[in-house]
Amino acid sequence: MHNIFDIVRLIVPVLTITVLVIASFLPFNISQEVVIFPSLTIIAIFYWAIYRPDLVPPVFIFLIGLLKDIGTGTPVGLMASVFLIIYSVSFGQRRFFIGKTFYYTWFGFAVISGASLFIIWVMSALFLGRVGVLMIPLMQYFLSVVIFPVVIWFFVRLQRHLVD
Amino acid sequence: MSRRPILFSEVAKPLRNLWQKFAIGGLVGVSFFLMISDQAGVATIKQVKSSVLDIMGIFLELGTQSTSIIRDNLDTLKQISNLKNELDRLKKENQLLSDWKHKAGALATQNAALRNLHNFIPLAPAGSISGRVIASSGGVFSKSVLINIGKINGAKTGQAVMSGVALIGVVVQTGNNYSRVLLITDLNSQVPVRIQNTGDPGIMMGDNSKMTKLFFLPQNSAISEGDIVVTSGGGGVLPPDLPIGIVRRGSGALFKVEPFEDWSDLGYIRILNYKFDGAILTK
Repeated sequence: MHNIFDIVRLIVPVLTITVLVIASFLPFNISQEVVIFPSLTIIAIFYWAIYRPDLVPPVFIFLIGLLKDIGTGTPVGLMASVFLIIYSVSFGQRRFFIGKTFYYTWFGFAVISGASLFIIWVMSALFLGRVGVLMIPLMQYFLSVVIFPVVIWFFVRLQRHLVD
Repeated sequence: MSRRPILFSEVAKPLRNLWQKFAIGGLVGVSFFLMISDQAGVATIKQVKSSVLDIMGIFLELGTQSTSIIRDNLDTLKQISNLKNELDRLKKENQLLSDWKHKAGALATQNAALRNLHNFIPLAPAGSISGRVIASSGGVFSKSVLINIGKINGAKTGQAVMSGVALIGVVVQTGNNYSRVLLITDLNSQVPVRIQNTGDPGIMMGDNSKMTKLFFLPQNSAISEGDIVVTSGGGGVLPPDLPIGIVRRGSGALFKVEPFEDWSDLGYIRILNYKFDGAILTK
């Protein structure tokens, strides 16, 4: 029997990614050196691509990437392609993560998110013909890796209680 | 023997399999195509972008209102404990400022007299449109903000955006109700500037960090740390003499500019409604 709860279960992954993308636009704090937000969206895409890829279609990842591009002012398609790459690599390697200890997942995230941030940095430099500072992306990367277990703790509970 | 009717699933299944195999590759391809078209300035993409901006703006404005209420309350709580110190500081500052007010008055009179003496023709004064920041690209790779002033309110591409007294950026994209402002710290930003104390021209470029870099200063420039940097008005896009920041020494022979604007608290801004005769503005 379909009830409202079934529908909520199906859209939780899509909803979390959407909320995180929109939250990343809000002007909590523009100061670049004091507060650098970790890339929570990348963590969310990584997590759901491994544990519930059936609920996150690639078309959604593409569209949310376009929304992110328009919101942040990066060339339209840049974040969309990076999100898709993160999604497909995480999805492709999900056997490596499932059923292993958490350290494997953490390590996998560190590699995949590092590579994706590097791709974004290279692509934005290619489009502009100039190179931006490397320090701020690096800080964001380390912050994302450090905060990863906390976010995952939250996602695991979300999945246990709402999705599965 | 009658022919078996072709079932929908028979046609759909191979298509579905094909899609599942190539969806991600195809979508990445589409992304790259969009990126290149966007960079080439295809009109349709611009239109779609500004429509999406308008829809997104409505939600972001709501979000901003709620976050700013929370932030204001937290700020008030912080300030209450410090009221007495703050009062003392303000009294001192007020004394200092009234002193400066007299000096400025005297200089204004002198300036008017000198302009009169030289038959100086001033530029038309700029009007301004006030609004607020509704979203910031928390992006590490670009520095821009969305504001709630759009084409309807008079925003045009190329206009200067100020916060309080200092230049913070330039309008680069306009929707009907919302616009995007490229901050001077963005990697894309290049502003023709002048060092106020020496009169030296230069170009200020952002690199996505908090400070911006100064390039193309004259060889024998007498620039020094602490000088004030203003717009030069060169290129005919920005009005001259808008304050930007203070010169700081970078590594080697490089000079940097520390913007006056404290980026952590960018709330209200104003667009300068300014137009040179015959100015070349990108549409």
